[in-house]
Amino acid sequence: MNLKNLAMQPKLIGLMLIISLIPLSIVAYFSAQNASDALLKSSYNQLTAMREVKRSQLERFFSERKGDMGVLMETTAALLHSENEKLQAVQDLKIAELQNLFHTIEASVNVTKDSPYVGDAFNAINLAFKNNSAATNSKAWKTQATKYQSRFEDVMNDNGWYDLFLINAEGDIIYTVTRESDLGMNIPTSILKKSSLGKAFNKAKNLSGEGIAIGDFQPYAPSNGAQAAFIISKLKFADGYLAMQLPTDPINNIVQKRSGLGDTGETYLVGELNGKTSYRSDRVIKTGKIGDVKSGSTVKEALSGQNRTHIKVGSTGDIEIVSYAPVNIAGLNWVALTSKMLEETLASKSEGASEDYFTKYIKEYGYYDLFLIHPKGKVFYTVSKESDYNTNIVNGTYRDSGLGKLTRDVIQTRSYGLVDFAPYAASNDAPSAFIAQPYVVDGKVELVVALQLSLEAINVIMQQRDGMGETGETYLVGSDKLMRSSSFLAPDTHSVAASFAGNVKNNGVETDAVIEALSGKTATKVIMDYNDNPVLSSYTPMKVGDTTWVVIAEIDEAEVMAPVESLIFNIVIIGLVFTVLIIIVAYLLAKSITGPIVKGVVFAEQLAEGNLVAHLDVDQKDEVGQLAVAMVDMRDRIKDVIQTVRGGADNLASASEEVSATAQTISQGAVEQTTSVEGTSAAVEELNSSVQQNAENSSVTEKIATTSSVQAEQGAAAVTETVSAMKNIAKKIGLIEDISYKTNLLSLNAAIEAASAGEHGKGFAVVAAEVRKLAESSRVTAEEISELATNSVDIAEKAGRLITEVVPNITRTSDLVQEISAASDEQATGIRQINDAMGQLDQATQQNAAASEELAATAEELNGQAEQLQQSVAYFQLAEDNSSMPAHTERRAPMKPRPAARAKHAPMAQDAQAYSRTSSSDFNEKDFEKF
Amino acid sequence: MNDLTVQNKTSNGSLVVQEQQGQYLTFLVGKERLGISIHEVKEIIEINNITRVPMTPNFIRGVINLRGNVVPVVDLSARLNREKSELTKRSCIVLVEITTEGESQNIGMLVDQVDEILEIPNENIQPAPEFGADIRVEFIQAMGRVDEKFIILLEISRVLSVTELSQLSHSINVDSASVLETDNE
Repeated sequence: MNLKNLAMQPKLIGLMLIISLIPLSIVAYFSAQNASDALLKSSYNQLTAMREVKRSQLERFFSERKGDMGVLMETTAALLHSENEKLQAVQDLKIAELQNLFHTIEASVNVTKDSPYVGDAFNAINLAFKNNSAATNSKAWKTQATKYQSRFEDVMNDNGWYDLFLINAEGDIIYTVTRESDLGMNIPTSILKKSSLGKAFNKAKNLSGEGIAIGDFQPYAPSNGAQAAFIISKLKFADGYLAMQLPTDPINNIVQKRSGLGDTGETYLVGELNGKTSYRSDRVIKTGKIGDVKSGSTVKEALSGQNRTHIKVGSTGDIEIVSYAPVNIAGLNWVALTSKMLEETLASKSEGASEDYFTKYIKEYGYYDLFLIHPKGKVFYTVSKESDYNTNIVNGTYRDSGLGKLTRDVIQTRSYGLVDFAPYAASNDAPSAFIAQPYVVDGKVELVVALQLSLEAINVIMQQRDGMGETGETYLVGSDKLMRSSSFLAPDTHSVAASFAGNVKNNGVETDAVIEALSGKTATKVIMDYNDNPVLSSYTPMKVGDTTWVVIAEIDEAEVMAPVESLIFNIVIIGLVFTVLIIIVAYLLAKSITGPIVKGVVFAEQLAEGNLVAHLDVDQKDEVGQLAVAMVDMRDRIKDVIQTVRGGADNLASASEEVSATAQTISQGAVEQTTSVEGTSAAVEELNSSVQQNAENSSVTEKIATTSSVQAEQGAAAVTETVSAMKNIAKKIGLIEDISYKTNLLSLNAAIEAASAGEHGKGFAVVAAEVRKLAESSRVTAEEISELATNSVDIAEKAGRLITEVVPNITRTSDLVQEISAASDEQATGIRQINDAMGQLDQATQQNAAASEELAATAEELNGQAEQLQQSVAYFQLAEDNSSMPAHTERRAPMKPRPAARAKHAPMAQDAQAYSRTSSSDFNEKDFEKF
Repeated sequence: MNDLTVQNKTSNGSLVVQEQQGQYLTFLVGKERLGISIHEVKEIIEINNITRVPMTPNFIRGVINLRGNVVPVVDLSARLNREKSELTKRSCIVLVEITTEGESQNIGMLVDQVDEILEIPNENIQPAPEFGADIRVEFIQAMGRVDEKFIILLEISRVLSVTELSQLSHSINVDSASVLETDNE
C-alpha cells in the first residue's frame, strides 16, 4: 500500500538499487564465506606445520643437548685422562730423578769410602783423636784435620752434601767438615743415638763392607734442628765409617719442579718412619715442611705400594686429582704424590687463550652455564662462577634446586638426565633447566657434568616468527601451565621469567589448548588464548625428560580474518560507490520518465479545471509520448463532446418543457380511465361468484363418484372372497367324500369279517351293508353338494367379473367429474386473476394519474437540470480567448466573464418554467396532439 | 374250467351250504370291474408305505408291514398284463390268503378302487368264455352277471400262484408266460 503511494522517482531508484545490490551482496556473501573458510583452513595447516616444525626443532634441540652432553663427557674424560697421564709422567720423572740422586750419592759415597786417601786421613785423624783423649781441640787433631780439610771440603761441595763425617768404630765422630757441635760426640752414647745419624750408624754397623746405610730425614739437633738425612758407609781402607749429611735442598729441588703442573699442581714426598708418616719434601702450594706429619687414606694407599691416580676431596676441601707412586730407594719407605686441583686440570686454558675449554664450549653451544660436580656434591667448577660455585649441591644451600635434584638423580641412575625449568636461586631465580651426565669409571661415579640450559636457545627456536604474520606465535607451556618459552605477544606478563615469578592465572596459560594437550590430545581449533582473544590454536603434547610440555602455535583469528574483513570492506566500498552511481543514473532515468508524466499530470489537472485549450508539450515517441498524444486527443474529443453537450443541453431544456405539458394531459386521461375500470371490476366479481358455485358442485359430485368407485372395488373383492370360500367348501366336501369312502372300506372289511364268520356274522353283515349304504348315500350327497358348490363358484366368478367390469366405468366417471371440478377451479382462478388484474389496472390507472403528475413535476425539474447542465458545460473553456489565464484562477472564471452565454440561456429557462407552471392547469392543444 | 369250479365247491363246505348265492368283493382295476369271492379276502387295507424290493418283476409292487408280518404286494393291473397302476386316494390293498401245498401265504393285491360286496346268485354265475376277454383265461374263475353286466371273477390261486411268483422272482429275466407254460407241462 505504501509502495503504491510512493512517488515514481524513489520507486525507480529503489528498484534499481535492489536489482543491482542483491546479486552484489550474494556474491559478496559467498566469496567472503569461501575466502574465510579457505583462510581458516590454510591458517590451520600453516599453524600445524609451524607447530610440528617447532616441535621437531625442539626435539632435535633436546637430542642435540644429549649429544652435546655425550661429547662433553667424552671431552672431559679425555681431558682427565690426559691430565692423569701428564701428572703421572711428571711424577715418574721426579721419582726417577730422586732415585738418580740417591744413586749418585751412593756412588760418591762409595768412591769416597774406597779411597785410600780417605783411609789414610781417617787413620791419621782417628789417631790424633784418640791420642788426645777423644778431643777435637788438640793440636795434633787440628793439624791432621787441617791437613785433610780442603780435600774433604772439596768432596763434600762437589757432591752438594751438607756435611761429611768420619766416624770410628766406636761411634765417635772424629771429623766433620763443618765442625758443628756434633764433632767429637759418640753416637751410641749421646743424643745422636736416636737421630737419623744414629739410626743410620746402627744399620751401617751391620753392613758387610759394601753398601750404604740410610738414615731418613729427621730434625738434626747439631744442625740447629734442621731436617737431615744421613748416609753411612764403611771405609774400605780403615776401620771406620764415612757418613754424609744430606740436606733437604737437593730433594726439594727435584720434587718442587713445577713444570707441567700448572698453578695448583705440585709433587711432594711422604715417608714412613717408625709408623709415622710425614713429608719428605717441602710443599709449595700448600703448607707443609719436611718432617710435618702427613697422613690420610691416599698416603696409606701410596705407602702400601699402589700406583694410581684418582679424584678426591683435598685437605682444603678442594677437589683434587691425585697421583701417587712409591719411590724405590733402598732403606727408605717413600712415596711421591702429585696433586692438582681438578678445576684447573679440566679448565685449563690453552696457550694464549683467554678462556678455558668449558667457557668456550658454553659460548659456542649457547648454554647458560656448565657445572662440574664431585659425586659428593661439591660444585668445583662453574663457568659463570655464580653463588653456587664451591657449594655442595647435594646437601648444601642449593640442594632443593633443579640442579640438586638432577645431580642426585644422575648419580643414582648413572645416566643422562634432564630437569625441567624452574627458578634457580643461584642465577637470581632465573628459570633454568639442567641436563647432567655422570662420568663413571669402573662403576663408580667420578664426576658429574651438568649444563644449565639457556632460555635463549629455546626462545630462539620458538620465537622464530617468519611467516607467522603479526600475531602468530609459537610457545611452550610446561605441565605446570607456566611458560617454557617467552610469549611474543605478551612479553611482560608471559615471559618465562614472569611466568615463574607470577602465578598460573596471570602469567601462566590455562587455555583449552593446554588442558587438552596435557591430556594427550593433538588438535587444531579456535580457542580463547591467555589474553582472552579468540585465536586459532594448534597444539600437541611433547615429552621432555620426565615431564610433558605443550607446543602451541597460535594466531589471532582477527588477523586470519583480516583479508576477509578487508575483502568485505572493499565490497562495501564498491557497494557504496555502486549505490551512489545507481542513484544518480536512476535519478536521471526516473526524471526522464517522470518529467513528461508530470507535464501530463499538469495537463490533466488543467483539463480537470475545464481548460480544454491547455497545451501538452511532450515530444517523445515512447509510451509516455503516446500517452501525451492520447491525452491531447482526449482533450480534443472532450472539447467536441462538450460542444455537443452544450447544444444538447439547450435542446433538452426546450424538450423538457414540452414533456411537462404532455404529462398534464396524461394525468387527466388517467383519472377517467379509473372510473371505467371500477365498473368492469364489479361485473367480474359477480362472474367469479357463479363460477365458484359451479366448482363447488362439481367437487361434491367428484367425491360421490370416488366413493362409488371405491365401493365397486370392495364389491369385486367380496365376490373374489366368495369364490375362494366356495372353492374351500368344494375342497372340504372332497374330505367328506374321502370319509365316506373310508367308511365304505370299513363296511367292506366288516362285511368280509362277517362273511368269514359265516352264519354268525349274518347280522353283522346286515349292519355292515347298512353302514355301506349310509356311506354310499353320504358320498352321493357330498357329490351333489360338491356340484352345487362348483356351480356357485361359477356364478360368483361371473358376478366378480361383472363387478370388475363396472369398476373402471365408475372410476372413469369419477375422473371426468374430477376434471370438471378442476376446470371449474381453474375458471374460478382465472376469474379471480381477472378480478385482481382489474384491481391492478385500477391501481395502475391511479398510479398513471399520479405518475403523470409526477412526470410534470419531473419535467419541470428536468428543465431546471438542463439549465444547470448548461451552466456546468459552460465551465469548460472551449476557445483560446482566456488561455492566457492560469489554470487555477480559471476554475470559477467561466461563470463570471460570460454574461453573454448566460443571457442567451436565461430566456429559455424562463420559458421552460412558464410552461411547467401553465401545463398543470390548461393544455396546449398542440402539445396534446404531439403526445 | 368247470373242473376248477367243482373243485372249489367241493373243497369248501361253507360254500356248499350257501349254494344259492355267493358274496363277491368287487373292485376296479383300470376301468375294469373285477371280483373275487369274499371268502378269499382276509382284509382290505388302505395303502400306507410299500417298501420296494429290488430284483423283483414289475408286477411285484413291494412288501408292506402288516402287524409285524411281511406281506408281498402284487400290482394286479401289471399282473393282468395291463399298465402299472397309478396310486390314488382310492387305491387299496386287498389282502388274500393263498394256500399252496398245505402252506398258507398272505399276499396283498393292489387295486385301484374297492367297490362293494355283491351277492350274486349261483344261477347268475357263468363259466368264463374261451376267448373274448383280455385277461388270460386261466386267471378267470367265472363270469358273474349283475343286472345286465358281467363281472369277471378272478381265480386268485392262479393269479397269485406262489410257485409261479417265487419262480419268477428267481428268474426275472424269463418271461412269465414261458415260465407258466413250463409249469403246466
